Amino acid sequence: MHWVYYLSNRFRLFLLGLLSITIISSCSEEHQSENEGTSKPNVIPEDVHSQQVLLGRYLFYDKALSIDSTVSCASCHQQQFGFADNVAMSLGHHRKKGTRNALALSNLKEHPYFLWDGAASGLEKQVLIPLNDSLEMNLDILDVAKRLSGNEFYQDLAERAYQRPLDPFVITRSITAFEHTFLSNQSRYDNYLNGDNNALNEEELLGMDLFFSDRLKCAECHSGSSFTDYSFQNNGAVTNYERDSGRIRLTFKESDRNLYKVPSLRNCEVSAPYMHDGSIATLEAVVEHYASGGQLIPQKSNKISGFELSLKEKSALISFLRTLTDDEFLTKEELSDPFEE
Amino acid sequence: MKILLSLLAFALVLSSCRKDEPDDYATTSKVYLNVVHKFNGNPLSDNDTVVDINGHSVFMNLVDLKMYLSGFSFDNTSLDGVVLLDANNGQYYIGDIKPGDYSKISLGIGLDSVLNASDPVTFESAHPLSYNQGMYWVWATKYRFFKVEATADVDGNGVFDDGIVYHIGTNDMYRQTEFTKAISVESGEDVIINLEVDWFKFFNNLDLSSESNTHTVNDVPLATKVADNALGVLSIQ
Ligand code: HEC
Ligand code: HEC
Repeated sequence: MHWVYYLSNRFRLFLLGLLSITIISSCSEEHQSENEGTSKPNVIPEDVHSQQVLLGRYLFYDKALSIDSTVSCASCHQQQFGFADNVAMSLGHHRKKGTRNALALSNLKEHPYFLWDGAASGLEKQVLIPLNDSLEMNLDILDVAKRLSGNEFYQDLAERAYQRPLDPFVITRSITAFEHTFLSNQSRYDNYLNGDNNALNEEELLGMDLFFSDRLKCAECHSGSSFTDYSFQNNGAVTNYERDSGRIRLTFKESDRNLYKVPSLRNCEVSAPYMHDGSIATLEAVVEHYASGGQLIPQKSNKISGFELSLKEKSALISFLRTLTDDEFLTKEELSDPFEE
Repeated sequence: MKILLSLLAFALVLSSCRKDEPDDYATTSKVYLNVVHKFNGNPLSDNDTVVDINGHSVFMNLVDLKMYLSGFSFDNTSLDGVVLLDANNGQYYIGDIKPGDYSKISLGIGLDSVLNASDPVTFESAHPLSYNQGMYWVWATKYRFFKVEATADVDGNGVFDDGIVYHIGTNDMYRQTEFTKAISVESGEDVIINLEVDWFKFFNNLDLSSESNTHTVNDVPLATKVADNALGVLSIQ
């Protein structure tokens, strides 16, 4: 009975939504969320933190955050790909092509800054960037707040979670709260570190030794629990650095030309393609790049000088990189699209 | 017992702070900045203004003018106000000061690195640092320090078809300046500082036919020139 009432209520809302979409689309280019009126949770959690995360989860997956309501954060940051995208350049609103490869997202609390050039000093401030980007979502956060101001579900949740309407503060805080739950720490490599000696097989152990060896030097940049020391480096992997000069864009310092942040390697098995321009398609090709020593470019780190690798070693190194895949993380319900529940 | 003692100590510290607070605060004066805008010495008007730049008569139509002032101090006492000027004359509260004789006023054009790292969505919408002010550079997660936008008729064809845009920001572009000024602050009386802003001075030594556009990143040398010009824009009466 309850259920039927709920449904019919939803249906009324849906009709209302449809009506407003027709009205709105007839007077302007802007559209309401396609997701409007679809599944909302039946149960709102009691504790404030869970409410904040839930609100952020809906916003992260809501296409209403883009000018033409076709793109959500999750369009370019897909859970199954480690919250990266499976194309070199993701498509933004009106299918506009971006200029950089979408970064995978995990364990973001550990990161001191964000983006390939380090332009974003905090996760909350980072939220504004894709919204504002003319190639990504192209909808100013003030307009997002305006667009969602009539959405009872969001307003109710915002009041509960933050005691204020869904304003830019709430939008950035809640999305960040959701992103902070992107914890990837259950890979087979983590299990190995946690004392499960059988978590890695012999080949993977060989790959691990190679990764941390002085010969390959991978861990001189990809160190720590996220496999990055957060430094800015050039690894010579890209053939054309002219299109994107990296960190110099931000600092204007010649010494920062063509430098990019050392990316996390967690879930790198599923976050292909690789590098800031997505120009390397597979882990095999990444390893071949490092073995060859890469492009001759003045800014290239002296830690990248090439090495000999037997076929067995090469496959072992790749196998090791695959042990950083956290299947639990890639499939976890709480991180998935709430509109599809 | 230990906890009790430390609580006691804490309470003592608190109450000792409290004791001298009222005396201190009762006698401080509020400081206001009274801002008058000019263009080449004349009152700033919406009308097209003829200016002489490098010997050419240029018609100028000012479209958008905004500028942050911060880092105020009287001698070595700092005031924590942040002001976002637009083209309207007005009065801005910039902080409190103790009575005494001061001889120097310092201020910054733009925001120091700490203010520049603020998160704009944490301020009320009317606050100078709020996102709503349209001064935040989202891509860099930093603020524009000032905006000077105009349309001009540089080539004299009678049409305002030459756009001028100076958006200056990033920590390197912060400029500090100081004025010698004898100020005697009387207990409890408001202090009013008369500041004149002459926007024409932003164009000092610029060749508008080639130096008309910088968002800082795309032309750092020009941005540096304009930021340096900003020092000449302010004067204290
Ligand atoms: C059109 C595709 C697209 C959309 C939509 C998008 N992103 Fe991104 N995201 C990217 C790309 C590309 C990068 C790397 C950009 C760069 O470094 O300049 C990135 C980087 C990031 C990073 C930095 C990660 C790191 O390790 O430095 C975070 C966090 C992030 N995005 C969150 C979001 C959020 C939150 C949203 C929604 C508000 C969003 N993204 C929407 C493509 C997108
Ligand atoms: C000098 C520091 C440095 C060393 C040493 C290094 N890397 Fe990297 N790595 C980087 C940088 C910087 C990037 C991103 C480059 C770009 O986007 O242009 C990167 C990218 C990657 C990527 C792609 C990640 C993604 O999400 O796009 C993988 C995989 C990778 N490195 C693995 C390795 C392996 C394996 C080794 C050892 C053989 C290694 N790296 C050694 C700095 C380094």
